[in-house]
Amino acid sequence: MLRKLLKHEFIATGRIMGIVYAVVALIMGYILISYFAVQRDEASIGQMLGITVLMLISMCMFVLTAVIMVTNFQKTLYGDQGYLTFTLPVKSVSLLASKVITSTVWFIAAFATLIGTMALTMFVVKEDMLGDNYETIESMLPLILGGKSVATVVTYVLYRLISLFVSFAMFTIEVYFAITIANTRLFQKHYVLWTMVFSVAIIAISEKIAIMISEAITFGLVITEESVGVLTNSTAYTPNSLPLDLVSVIVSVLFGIGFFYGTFYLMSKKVNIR
Amino acid sequence: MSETLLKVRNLKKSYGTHEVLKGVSFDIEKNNIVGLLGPNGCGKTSMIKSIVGLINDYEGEILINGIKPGMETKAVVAYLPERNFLAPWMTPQNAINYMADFYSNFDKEKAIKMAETFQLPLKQKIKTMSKGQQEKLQLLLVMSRKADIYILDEPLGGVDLVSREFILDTIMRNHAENSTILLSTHLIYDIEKVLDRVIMIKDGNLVVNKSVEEITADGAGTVEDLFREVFRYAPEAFKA
Repeated sequence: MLRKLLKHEFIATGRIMGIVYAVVALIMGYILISYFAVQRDEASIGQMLGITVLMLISMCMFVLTAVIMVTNFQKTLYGDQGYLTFTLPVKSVSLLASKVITSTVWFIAAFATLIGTMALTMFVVKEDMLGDNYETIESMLPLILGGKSVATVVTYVLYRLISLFVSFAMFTIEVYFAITIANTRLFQKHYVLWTMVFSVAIIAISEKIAIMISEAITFGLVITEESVGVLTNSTAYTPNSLPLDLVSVIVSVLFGIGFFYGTFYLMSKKVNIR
Repeated sequence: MSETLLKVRNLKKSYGTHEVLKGVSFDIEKNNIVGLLGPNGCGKTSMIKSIVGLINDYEGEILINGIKPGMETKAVVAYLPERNFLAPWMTPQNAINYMADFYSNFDKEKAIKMAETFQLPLKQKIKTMSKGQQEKLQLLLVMSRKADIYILDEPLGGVDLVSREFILDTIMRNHAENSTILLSTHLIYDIEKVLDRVIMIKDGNLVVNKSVEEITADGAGTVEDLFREVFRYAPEAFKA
């Protein structure tokens, strides 16, 4: 049933997101095609305009994704549509999982749009737009990557991506938990206000605790020129080594699991749809 | 021998200090049409929401085919709430596909045929439909299921006399064979002729649980008469 729930979640949320990403794809396609069709030293006005629009969209995508995910969660579970959603012959855990997965995927898509836009900007406009900064960025790359093997660079990039995706999922679950508390009987009357209050409080408190724990416990990976080692209190750093803190990622995952089951419990036992 | 489909025992539900159900118990047998009657605010909807699994923090016991409300019972209960439960961006075709995906007992062909009969355009967005069209769509989605029990919460509320006849006719023609219908309403006049049994709720208590045969035996009066006696309503009130 999770597969069917995911299918319908993507249909419901993809109506708006799909249009935006289609526009993104069209603009990117136009910029690339025009770049290869007419090789010029300088970017055309059309390309510059396209890049500007892409940058604006990239910046707005995270906010748009959050707004769509929050309103979809509220409407389909605790609004009138909840009368259908909660009478489907599916497990509540699957219902919640489908919403968290969908939201995380859309956040990843927003991130991919941002990276894609940046890559396209670097590729097409180079010095035109970035000026001296382009050369600075170009000259910094060997310094960052210098001497490191492909495996260590891949490990580093993977770590960054995984921790970012975990933070997307974590943000989603925290907000869903806040919405669910705001829809319990005590807070239901002013659920919009309480959703905002609880979201800010939950995100701030959980982040504070995660920082405290990761400061107290040092555990992770350390990337040196040729290898990846275990990071502990006694790890000796070389000037070129990159420490990757795993504690904050593990704490985020544990918090995420806690908030997920907290939401599931409240959703199943304490929330009465209006 | 008749089999019990729905068993409700000592059902209590409160919203804060306000107790809306005060220990209601009854059984509903298979292949019966039962009217759940009572004025607005008497606890009918809370009881229905508990049976269909929308309310979980109740006291007492509810069993459908011997099982507590949950995933298994949701597969055999077809529920029509008072509210519009469909997303406004959907079309009837989207809604039919959605139901067919989740309910193995949903008859897609029947739903499409009913939509044609009701003159509902399959490609029109629900938000652009009239209230009457939206209600017809919801009704056809519920009645296209081969369910064990159809629980219909105020399906006749807020519609004119012709529409009420149409809705009742649709329910009677389309419910699955040997299924049970639990129909909540405060408009007794319209449904009296189709009921097998009547359950009346007053201030959260069950006050009547009788078959229509018992109520009307020996010219004792009609269901409407009994309703009037129990709730002391003016006759016009339930014909409205």
